[in-house]
Amino acid sequence: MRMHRLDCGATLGPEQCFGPNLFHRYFQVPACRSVFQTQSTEKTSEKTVTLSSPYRSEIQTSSAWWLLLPALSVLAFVGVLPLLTIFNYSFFDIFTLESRFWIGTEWYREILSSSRFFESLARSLVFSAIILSIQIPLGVFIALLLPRDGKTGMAFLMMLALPLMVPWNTVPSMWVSFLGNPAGFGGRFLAMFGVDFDYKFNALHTWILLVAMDTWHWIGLVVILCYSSLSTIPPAHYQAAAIDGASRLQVFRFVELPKMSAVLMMALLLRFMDSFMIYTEAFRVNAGGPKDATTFLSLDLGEEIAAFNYGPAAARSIIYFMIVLAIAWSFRTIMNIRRDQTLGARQR
Amino acid sequence: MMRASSKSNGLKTAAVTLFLFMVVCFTMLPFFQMVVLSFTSTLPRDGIAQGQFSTINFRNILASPLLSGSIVNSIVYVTLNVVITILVALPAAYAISRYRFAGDRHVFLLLIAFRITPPVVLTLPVFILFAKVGLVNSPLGIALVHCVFNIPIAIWILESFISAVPKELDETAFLDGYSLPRYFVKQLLPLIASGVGVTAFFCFMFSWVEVVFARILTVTGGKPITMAINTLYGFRTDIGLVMAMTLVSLIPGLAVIYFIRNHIAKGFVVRS
Amino acid sequence: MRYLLLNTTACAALMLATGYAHADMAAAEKFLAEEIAGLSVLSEAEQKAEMEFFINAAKPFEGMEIKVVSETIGTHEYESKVLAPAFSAITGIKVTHDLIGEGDVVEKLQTQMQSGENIYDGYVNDSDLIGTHWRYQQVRNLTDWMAGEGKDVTNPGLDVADFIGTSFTTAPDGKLYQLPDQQFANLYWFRYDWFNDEKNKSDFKAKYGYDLGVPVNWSAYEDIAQFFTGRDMSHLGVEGKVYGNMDYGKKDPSLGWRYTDAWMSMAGMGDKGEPNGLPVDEWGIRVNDKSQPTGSCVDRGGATNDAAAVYAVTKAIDWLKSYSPPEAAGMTFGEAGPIPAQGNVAQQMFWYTAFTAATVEPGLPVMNEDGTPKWRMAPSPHGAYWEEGMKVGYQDAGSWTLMKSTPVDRAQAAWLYAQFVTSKTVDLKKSDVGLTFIRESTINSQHFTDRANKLGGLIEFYRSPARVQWSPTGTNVPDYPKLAQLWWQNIGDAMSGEKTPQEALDSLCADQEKVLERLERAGVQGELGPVMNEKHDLAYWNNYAKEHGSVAPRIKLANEKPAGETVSYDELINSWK
Repeated sequence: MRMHRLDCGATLGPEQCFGPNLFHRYFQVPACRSVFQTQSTEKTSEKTVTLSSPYRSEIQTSSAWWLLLPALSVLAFVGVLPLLTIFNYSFFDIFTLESRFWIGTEWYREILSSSRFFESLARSLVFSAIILSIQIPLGVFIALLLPRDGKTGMAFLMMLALPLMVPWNTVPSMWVSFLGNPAGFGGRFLAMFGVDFDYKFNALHTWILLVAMDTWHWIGLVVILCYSSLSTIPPAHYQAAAIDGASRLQVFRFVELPKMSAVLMMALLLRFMDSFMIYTEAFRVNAGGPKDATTFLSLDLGEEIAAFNYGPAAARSIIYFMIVLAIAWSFRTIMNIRRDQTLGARQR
Repeated sequence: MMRASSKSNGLKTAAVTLFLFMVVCFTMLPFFQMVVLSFTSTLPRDGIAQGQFSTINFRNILASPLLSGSIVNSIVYVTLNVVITILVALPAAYAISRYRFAGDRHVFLLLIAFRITPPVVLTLPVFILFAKVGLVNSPLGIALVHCVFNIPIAIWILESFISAVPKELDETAFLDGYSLPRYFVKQLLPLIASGVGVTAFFCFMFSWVEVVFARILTVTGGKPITMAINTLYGFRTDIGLVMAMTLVSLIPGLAVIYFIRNHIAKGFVVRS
Repeated sequence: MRYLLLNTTACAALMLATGYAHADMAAAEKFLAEEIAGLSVLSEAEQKAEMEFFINAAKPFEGMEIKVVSETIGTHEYESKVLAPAFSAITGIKVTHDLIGEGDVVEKLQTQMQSGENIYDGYVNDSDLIGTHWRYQQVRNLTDWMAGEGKDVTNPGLDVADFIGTSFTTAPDGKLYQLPDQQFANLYWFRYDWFNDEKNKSDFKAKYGYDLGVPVNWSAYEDIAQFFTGRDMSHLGVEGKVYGNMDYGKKDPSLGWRYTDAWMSMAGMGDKGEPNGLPVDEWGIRVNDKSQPTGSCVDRGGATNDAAAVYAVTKAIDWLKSYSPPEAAGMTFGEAGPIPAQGNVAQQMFWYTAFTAATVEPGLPVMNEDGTPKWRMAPSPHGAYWEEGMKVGYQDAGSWTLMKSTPVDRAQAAWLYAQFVTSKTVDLKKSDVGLTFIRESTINSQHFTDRANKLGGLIEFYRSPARVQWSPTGTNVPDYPKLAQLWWQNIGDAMSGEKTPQEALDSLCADQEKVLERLERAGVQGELGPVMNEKHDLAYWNNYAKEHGSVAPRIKLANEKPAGETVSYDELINSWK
């Protein structure tokens, strides 16, 4: 039987403390160092192993890079190389690739000084904020409500996973057909209530449509992630909480949320990025209309690429990439701070 | 006292059921619309009135080499992508999980950066690069490009699963004389099979529906489903055919969901 | 037409299945007998001779697989599904003719231009890009090609003079850059039956003081639109609300060509000249005598934001708001197309003849029982600023384009296919199916004389001298894809009311000039690239124009609504004979 004993004092079973891993290291948490104790009865030889460090010794680090090589080389080929090319393009005025004209940072200056850019940025941020504030809580809520075991839960997950499989260029078509009046069911339903749903000219309606469409499309992802992490909570925890007389809210805060925190972060990051950079769905609904009400960042980019303006498109891409990196960086910093706080509190 | 609590319980269950029912409606209604449209002839045709029930759309799909071939193309490239991604991500995830090395902290940021790159940014350079190495119009090309955002996710998920397996298992194996590859295949892989399943699901999902790269890399051949659907939009879009094609494209997705359902339902933990 | 297509496809499939392995005369004879079946301007012997040329010329390329691409109109569908397999069977060159969206063709072409990678071996590309092709020199010019590398694969029976659209595809250097494959025009569409109804005629005359007929100017069009919108037409059995105009206004790429397809010159913006206004064309771009673009805004001598342009946009928006079905403002080109055929629209100013085939389908509310249409097409009315000698409307000329980045042998094989689908053997049948015309001999054939009364005036138009006043975008436009993009975005702002037409056009011309300036600065087009004018005010340029015998840019007219003029359709047709 192998047990970890954490020198932060607690003793946990194997499924509860998995040792330091990427996240701990990344977020600079002083991980619980586990002390390995073995009570192996099979082997009677002198192979007693005492490891003072939970990590392999440093002489093995080079082989780590060998293991990473395949992944990194694929990413280098299809990711880094094109990115560098883009970076290069952003300093030229490009008509054909042979005839480039150096203009330095002119594109950057032009984009960053245009009010249109900041308006699109603001719109994208607002849109993402709305999406996150709806989808994350809603996804968690649904995941909590679903029966944890048995066929029903599985059936629900399968059903919620279905919108994830729809080709992205068809999602807007489906919704537009659905809301079309008189042909679509949704349209007819709304008309019964006298609602004139006009997503072509009414900015509010267009936003509502986009939010609804995006939620419909992606809520399954959040639910699947949350549900899966909830399923790993052993019933024993619930029983312990019940014995302690915890309220539903407390159970959620202290038993369920900690388990879900990592997947929630993943969902948050993925959903934020995808909603921030939404293109296909928004374009097909109303091409950024009405009157620019749904012109998000990526729409400008898409238009430049369609016009074969590679110079400005490249500059714009680099700027977006920087924005996105900055946000990822701030995620990390916030998580770090929170982690230090909670760990500090726990250690006291 | 008992009555009151069971009554409030009853109300609660009713409320929950109603809510879940609304969720089902919200999710399934557009699909219902899609199914109805796919069985409708939405353009005027000889012999079939517009708006009439008909299986003409599905017959058209079978008759069109572009459309039926696109299904095969999609399956090929997605399978290739899933295989490449998992093959490549497994060692990487292992390395990140087990080793501490210079720069390991920054690997995470790097991976995230790739996942969140907007695809439309990379289209032209990727096209030129792939054209030079002859990967245009080939499913392998799309499979490789999709790795940009699938590998980070795969590593993220697999790393968590691998971390769930105690290091001690590794050490015992090595002490027992296993080499790393042998240990990996014989002992570790069965333990993280669920994780591989989940990773395959996510990779499949992100890759199957991707539009931007699929478009730029398949010009005259190898068109996947998303691109075949794209060609249907035009002068007079036959919405019924578009919906029928979408319906057909959901079938492999459904199959994957069905096969993976246990792994997802059973639960997996992304470590933090 | 669909039935026809199905039948011919079946024939082609059969032929393919039975005789595909090698090129031979037997396959050719089968094709001629079953597909062409005598529907050609050539005699049987001449047809066979032409087929022989193709078989012999294709021998070095036997077994080669080539790919060509075009947009998805009916004519191209016929080519792709019937003619390409036939060509493959006859010559042994396997042709895949892809059909994709209009915008996508340009995109692929651009990608090939930009990257130098051979994507398609041949493109059917709108001749709107003639200015682009001529200046970037990425396209093989066919004059030199036919005399040089393409000599052995050029059909002696090609008869370039027989093509009616070569003036569109010839650059100022006198060389042919593209070979037309299909053409259709943008005309005025109206309900002939409603215009001939006695009650309508008398009511109209009473209200407006002149006869109801084909409008000659925009004032008349507006009066007619006003007359019909909301009118009670139950005496003719029409149910539902009637509209006097149809258009589309969704902010979508299709909104761009709604305006660049000569709307401005129909209003009278730009200069006189055929096929396009010189020195200022319908995009408002001015060129100097070396054909170098010199400006787009009024302050550089262009006309994109002059009074005539503002008038053009203002009128279009007014008519869309006041006289069109309410959904029209949110429709794209593709969605708006079928609406007139549904029977509640009296007239449409901007109607592509490519819709003819779809609007003559039997059983439609706009068709008579004997197969003749209730509607007609006629020359488009012109605006208050228009003067004789100016371009009247738009003609689309999808034309074969061979890129320099395509290897010579592949280009030669593609050239053979291009000539096959435009050959005199095939052309009559092809036009019969798709109702697009490229050859004089086809237009004048007996077959179409017989068919004319079922086509709503299409044949009469193409036989008339008027047709030369309809043309595609010309050589003043140095980079079509980059400039076209600007139109839908800026005009879209005017459509939505976000900007006034003047503001939207000011913004558009500024954007266009930015592109011209970039081209000038980069020097990418060499001697043919833009050389920007200095800025002066409107009065200066207007005077400059008068001194040099042109008219643009225009000063605002005091009266933008002169008296309406109409002409009876029947008289119009007779005047052409």
